[in-house]
Amino acid sequence: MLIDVIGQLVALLTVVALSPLLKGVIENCKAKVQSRRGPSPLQPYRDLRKLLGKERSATPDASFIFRVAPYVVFATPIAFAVLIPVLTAAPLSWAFMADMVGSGFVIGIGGFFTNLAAMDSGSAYGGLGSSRSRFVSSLAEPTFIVVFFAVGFISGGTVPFVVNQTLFTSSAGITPSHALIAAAFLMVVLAEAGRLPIDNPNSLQELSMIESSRLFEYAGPDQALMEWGGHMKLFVLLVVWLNVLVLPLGLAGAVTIPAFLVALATLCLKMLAAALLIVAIESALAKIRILRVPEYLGGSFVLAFLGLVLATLGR
Amino acid sequence: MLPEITLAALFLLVSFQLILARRLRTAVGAYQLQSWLLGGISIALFVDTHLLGLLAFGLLIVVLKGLAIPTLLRRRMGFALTAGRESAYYVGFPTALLVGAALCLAGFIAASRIPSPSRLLPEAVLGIGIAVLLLGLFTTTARRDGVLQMGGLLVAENGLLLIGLVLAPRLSLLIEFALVLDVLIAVVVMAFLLARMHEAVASTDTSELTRLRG
Repeated sequence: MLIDVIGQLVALLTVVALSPLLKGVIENCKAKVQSRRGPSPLQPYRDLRKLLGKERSATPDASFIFRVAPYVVFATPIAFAVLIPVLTAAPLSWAFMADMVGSGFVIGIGGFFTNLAAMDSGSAYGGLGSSRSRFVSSLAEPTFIVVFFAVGFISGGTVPFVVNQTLFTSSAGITPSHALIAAAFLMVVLAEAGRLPIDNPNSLQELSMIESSRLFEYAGPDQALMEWGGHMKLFVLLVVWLNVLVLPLGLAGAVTIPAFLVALATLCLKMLAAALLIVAIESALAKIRILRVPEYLGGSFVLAFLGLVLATLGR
Repeated sequence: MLPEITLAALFLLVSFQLILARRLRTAVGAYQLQSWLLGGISIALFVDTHLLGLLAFGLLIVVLKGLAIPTLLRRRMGFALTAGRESAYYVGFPTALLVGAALCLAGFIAASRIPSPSRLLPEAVLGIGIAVLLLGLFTTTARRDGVLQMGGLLVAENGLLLIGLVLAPRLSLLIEFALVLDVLIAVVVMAFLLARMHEAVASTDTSELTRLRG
């Protein structure tokens, strides 16, 4: 029991500690692609430290939601990380609290509170960002649900650990339906985490931004928590994509120190690969117009749907 | 069987690229890639079964549909390639995607009802063939631009060939040759007509045709 708790804590600490590094590596590689030297991969840590050292400030018009939201945003990816295989292949004691749909709700709470807080401050940009992010999320939702259905059909379960186990023991190679579902999931992950081609994470131009306009009114430690929560959200969603849908290789079978070290190393390698993939995508694509977002997410829905159809009818 | 199914799944995906195509450049690219995939399926099936007809069929498709027809289209339809404009449509892109998904489902259900005792490929590939046929026909009705309508027709024809490959893989080479050459003639005629149309009214929008009076 105790060993389970320790394993769980190590997994959660991994998520908390490594997520800013993922963001830093992406930014650094993107700059390299653009022939700039770019910020150091450790820059997000420095930013967070700087922000955490400042005093709190909030507009007097805002209600308690504005002050509570950063903690919720920071906590939800951690709660989500309990439910997914970050380092271990075997489910830890808390993993059965929720399945993939339930964990989707957990991660959704963070977005919900970000939206409330953004509107709460009364800033025009906050409302704009909330409206747009709801627009994107409501279109991403069908894809998520169809992906969950499809993996449920294939593996007979929706708990991420079970899916991870059966998806790779039932079939020898990667089947087309599996590949389609993985592609569709990556598309919605990019949309949900506010990456290109839906939202430019580096843009501070008011009319085009989605994610950053929601954090506009935050400063100091609150902003640090919000941004850290955002880094962790991308990190955990990528963990689901990598460890559940694409490549579960290297996950620890039991809670031992060598197995965890191997799992940590492979996770870092996989994350590096995912970061390079994101860099490639973001360097190749421009941000699409907001009215063409339905096409992008409709495309991901069709991919997931075809995956489901191929998995169920096309045997 | 896995390479064939994977190629067939890509074959299906590429037809969605056609549905989303706004320009001839994309449509021709999608068609070319799809033809290569169709040839690939036929050749992969030859590797499995050692039926020489399949190898010849695959090579024929690669040469004619993968090289000759796209080159011909790019040459003949230069006016539409360089235009780079957004084409007019009856059905919007997100709706078209959803209709496409529904058509795929219809294709797979239809495939499960077709008895074919002598087939070499799994039922999924037959479903993909029917789905691509439906998607191509849908594109011809959903787009107003004559060039993209032709693209839809060509893709539908690719789907038809895939259905043929599943249902009658041992067809005589002569008949297959005739089938594929037929498309070449059709493309020449359609490209010629569209070029004439573009010369006459400086547009390939077919909805304008109703205004023509003799």
